[in-house]
Amino acid sequence: MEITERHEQGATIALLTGKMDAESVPVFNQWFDDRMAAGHTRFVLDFGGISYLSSAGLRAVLSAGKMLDKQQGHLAICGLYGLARQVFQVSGLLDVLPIRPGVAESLAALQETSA
Amino acid sequence: MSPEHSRTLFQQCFAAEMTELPRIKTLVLDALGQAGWCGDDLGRFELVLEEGVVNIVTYAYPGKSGEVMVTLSTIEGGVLLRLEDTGIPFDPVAVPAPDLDAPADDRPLGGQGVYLMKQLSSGVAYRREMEKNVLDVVMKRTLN
Repeated sequence: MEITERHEQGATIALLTGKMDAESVPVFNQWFDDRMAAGHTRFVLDFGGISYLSSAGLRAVLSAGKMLDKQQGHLAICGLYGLARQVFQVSGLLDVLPIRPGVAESLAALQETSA
Repeated sequence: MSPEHSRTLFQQCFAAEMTELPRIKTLVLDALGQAGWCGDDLGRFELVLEEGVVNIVTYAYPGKSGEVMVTLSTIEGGVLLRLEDTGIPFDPVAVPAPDLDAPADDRPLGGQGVYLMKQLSSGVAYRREMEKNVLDVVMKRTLN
């Protein structure tokens, strides 16, 4: 998995590409912990490049969401397609997580939460 | 199904360690790819394989090392993935489904893997046999 990061409207936007599985999830967790430690509290996770996601990936996303909640931070998820979307859907997480179609909608949702 | 219709595509014993997961995946997926599997079918199979192996690696041998035997064989319309370990008895089929209506904050971080394995396969069966956990997962092919 690769993480390509950019910053816009006070949010950290991460484009994730490749496989988010038991092998690569520690890379994501380390990246997320580093950003949290640096004071980032608003995240957009763009799954547009994720072709494969297992329960380890789901766990990382849920865990990131819980950490952000504790810090009054905000998370938006977008770009889910194919197997990754199916995994979120089967787990019943499509309706309970803040999932948006794309980055623009995610940023708009983050703006609303801070209004 | 009569034995002449079933063919073993892959069989190998691995150390039940997380560091072995990439190698297990590569070897088993390669065998399945050579049998003509591709696309979403291959992705779903990879997920089922990962969840099954991760479960064994994480829970089967608390405080000691062990092994996992991976066998892949053909069945009508798909393949049978068999995972065997000599660890503590554990029946993943008996794990209750997560509460799909619970809000994200209330979700336990574990317990999703077994559920995904059941949902994305055509059938999961467990038995304890000769001091071994034997997990059979049937994967049907949807693409031609």
